[in-house]
Amino acid sequence: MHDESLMFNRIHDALDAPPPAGAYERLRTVLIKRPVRPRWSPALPTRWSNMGFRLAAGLALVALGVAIASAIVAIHSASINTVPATHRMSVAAYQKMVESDGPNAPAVWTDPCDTVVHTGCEADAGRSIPLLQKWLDDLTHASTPARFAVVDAEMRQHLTQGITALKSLIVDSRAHDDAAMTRDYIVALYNAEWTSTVVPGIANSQQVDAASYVALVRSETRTLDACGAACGFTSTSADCIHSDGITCLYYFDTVGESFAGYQSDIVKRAAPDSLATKDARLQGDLSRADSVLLTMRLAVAAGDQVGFNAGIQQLRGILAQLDQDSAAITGG
Amino acid sequence: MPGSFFSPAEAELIEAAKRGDGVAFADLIRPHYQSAFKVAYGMLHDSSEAEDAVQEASFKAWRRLGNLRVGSSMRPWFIAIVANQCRGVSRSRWWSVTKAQGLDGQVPSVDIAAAVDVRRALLRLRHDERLIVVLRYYLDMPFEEIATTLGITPKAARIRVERAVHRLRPIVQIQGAAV
Repeated sequence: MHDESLMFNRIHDALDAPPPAGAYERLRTVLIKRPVRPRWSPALPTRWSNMGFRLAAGLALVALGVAIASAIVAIHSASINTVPATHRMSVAAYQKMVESDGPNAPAVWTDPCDTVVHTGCEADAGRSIPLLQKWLDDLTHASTPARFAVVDAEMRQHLTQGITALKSLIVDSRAHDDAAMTRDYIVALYNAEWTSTVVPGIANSQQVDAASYVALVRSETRTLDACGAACGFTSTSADCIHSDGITCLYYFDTVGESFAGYQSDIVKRAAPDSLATKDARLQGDLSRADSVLLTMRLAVAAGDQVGFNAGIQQLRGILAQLDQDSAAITGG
Repeated sequence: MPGSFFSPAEAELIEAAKRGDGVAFADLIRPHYQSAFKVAYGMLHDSSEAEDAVQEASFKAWRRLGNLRVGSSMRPWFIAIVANQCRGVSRSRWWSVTKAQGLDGQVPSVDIAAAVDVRRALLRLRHDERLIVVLRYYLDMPFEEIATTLGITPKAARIRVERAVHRLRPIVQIQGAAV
């Protein structure tokens, strides 16, 4: 109880600030000047048909699967020294490149950008595209160090999706197509969020010994399992299609952060060579979860309950697979 | 829980707002404006950004008004939209330097320095942890209303509050001892 009242007092002391004078009146004026017609369910309809959405989602999954498989093969090849080390970019050079490209790209955004109300969207997207493209080009031309093979493949996939979404955003903004902009924004934001979570992990990556890596995986798995039991739709049946979407957005963010955070942490404290193949398998499954979450978001945008439910099933399967990956590393 | 059912007056305002009546929607959110601003300020720590976030969230809430179910409560629904708007603002900052260093231009005194420490500690929490601390200890929400706002069970709300407090406690206790 003492703790509770101390916390109340400290938080109030730290935060208490009244709204700026006339804030509500300003809001009232703006609301009256810019009337809105509320939407009806599904909350975020798009011009994509359910079939089109599933086809696109399926293709994205296949592409990611191929990229990850290639990355795992690359790691395996690296571990038996078929590629001379001198031909690969050094870890430090790769880190410097990502650290330089990463923060530039999303920092140009000035506003949330999911409707035509946000008039700066087109300019923001226009500034962001060449920066993301440069980042993607740099990654494509680099000979990725084996340590980053999986995360690099996934990052290029995210950047490609992000660029495509931003180009669509510009087209849809010019067409005043609110619903399509929402969909574009979901993809662009999801990709940007993933990269912003993972880039610090790459930038600060250091190889650790087997014991430290095993302890990290054990701890991360516990956290992920706890999230699986409490973070929302992996354990409960959330009605994301017909609800207002707020709860679901929260679930998406929590679950998404859990997967991306896990990946960032194991990239930051990188596996020793002896565990590289198992680490790649683990990262590959985290990547699959990441991809499924994006397709689930798009399913919500398309009002596609079947696609959303399929995503939940896939996520549950991936969580079980991650437990196996973890057990293979920790021996438990 | 406050406002579990729409009053007749509130129901009338909702119907009018659904038809595009800005005055009705403004009247509808007036009782919740203070709470909404507190959440936004607690999340963003900047008065102007908080005002902007509430404004953007208000438009989103208006557009989604058709999804507000009869029998649900207005405040947690609106607060959730504001919280998600703040998440968007935080993302748009991304790597930019946070504004936690000062208190809107005031010269730091000992008390203010302590407040800055708490604010910095809050900014180090993940979005969802910070939100739950703000809801519980700044808006003084009961666990049931936190649960409704976040779409989780009251038990899960209590567990999340405990986890977030666990991370904040060292700083708050140090200050408690110092004051």
